[in-house]
Amino acid sequence: MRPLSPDGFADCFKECSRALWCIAAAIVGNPDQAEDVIQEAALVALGKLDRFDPSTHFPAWMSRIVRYVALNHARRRAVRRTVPLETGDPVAVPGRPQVPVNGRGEITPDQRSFDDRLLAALRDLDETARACLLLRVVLEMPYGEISLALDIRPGTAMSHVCRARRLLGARLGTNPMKPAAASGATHG
Amino acid sequence: MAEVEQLIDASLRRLFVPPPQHVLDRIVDRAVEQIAPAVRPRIRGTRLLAAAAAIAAAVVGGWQLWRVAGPGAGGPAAYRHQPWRSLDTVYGDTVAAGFEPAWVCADDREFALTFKSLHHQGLLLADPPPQIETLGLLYCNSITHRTIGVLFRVDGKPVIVFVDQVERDAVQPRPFVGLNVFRRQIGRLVLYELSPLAEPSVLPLFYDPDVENRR
Repeated sequence: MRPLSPDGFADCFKECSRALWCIAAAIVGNPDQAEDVIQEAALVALGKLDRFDPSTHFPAWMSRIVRYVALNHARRRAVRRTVPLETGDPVAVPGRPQVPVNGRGEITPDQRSFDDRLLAALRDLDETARACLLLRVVLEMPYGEISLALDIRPGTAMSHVCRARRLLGARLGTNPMKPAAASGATHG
Repeated sequence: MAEVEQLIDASLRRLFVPPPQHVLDRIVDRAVEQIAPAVRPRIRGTRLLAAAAAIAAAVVGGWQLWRVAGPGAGGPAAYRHQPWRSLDTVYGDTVAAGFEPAWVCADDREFALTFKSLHHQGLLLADPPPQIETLGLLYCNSITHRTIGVLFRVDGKPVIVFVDQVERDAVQPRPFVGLNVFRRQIGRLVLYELSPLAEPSVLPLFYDPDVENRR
């Protein structure tokens, strides 16, 4: 078995990098940390290239490493976190504008509140379900490709997406655009 | 429930936008350079060959070439997360800083792919008339944190077109002091032209290459 060269690794990585980014973002629950995760995962994978069998599916191998690194990131972040998710100030969501304004300088409390509640609700889902959901919704990936990327069966990927949508819908569906009462946010 | 699911999907697409492909490419290239410095010259050589091939193809195909050198050529590393700024603030800051782009595409393909990778739809420019000079791109956190600005000079005056996904644009137009704003929607993309001129100059030049190819 001839190991994959670093150049070959880079080519394979680039072909599936958007999916890897989505998996990382799904697991850490934060798009801004996903780039750090896949960079660290790339370094880890490069150190293990001799263990990769080129006859196997590269995205599945690489996604396992991304998930491992992302879970470590998420655990480290959970240890540092001191504010409960539901009662924390929504302004603390990283990568978001510090004031609830849109591109026109106008206040958009409803949408922002919905996004914050969705991010919180996502954290209650299993990380594989989150990854399936993001690959399906954000990248519009077919279930067959999701199953290859995550090394699960297509039916499992489909049921993860359906269940995730149902759970999120139930959590946010009673009054989807109403700000969370516990957030204490004022947008006036 | 279907309405809630649509809201959830739209929110996920707004919150989780993968970076442009060249940013992701740079991540793995850096990792390879860090782990295996010996491969670096070969990568650089490959890039030089690719650049030469792109230039040759552009000449043969009559592509519009963008500036690939000079103070505005920031490279893929120019992309980074930024604090939120309104469109007119970005315009003012960019003018004050000399109106230089952060990134200059080598050719039409790279230009289209930048939008495709970030916003799921390509975008191209028709050949501009002589009074319009295309300078390059900048990234800003305005409509969303993945807004792309395209810099132009029209009769010497600075004009920026901001591009993002239309589903993220739940806003009402508002006039900016000293600037006119024009809006256009192309497929899934929304474009705002901020200009000191009375008429939109560059919005009509944009088109979706996939739609054009199907015709």
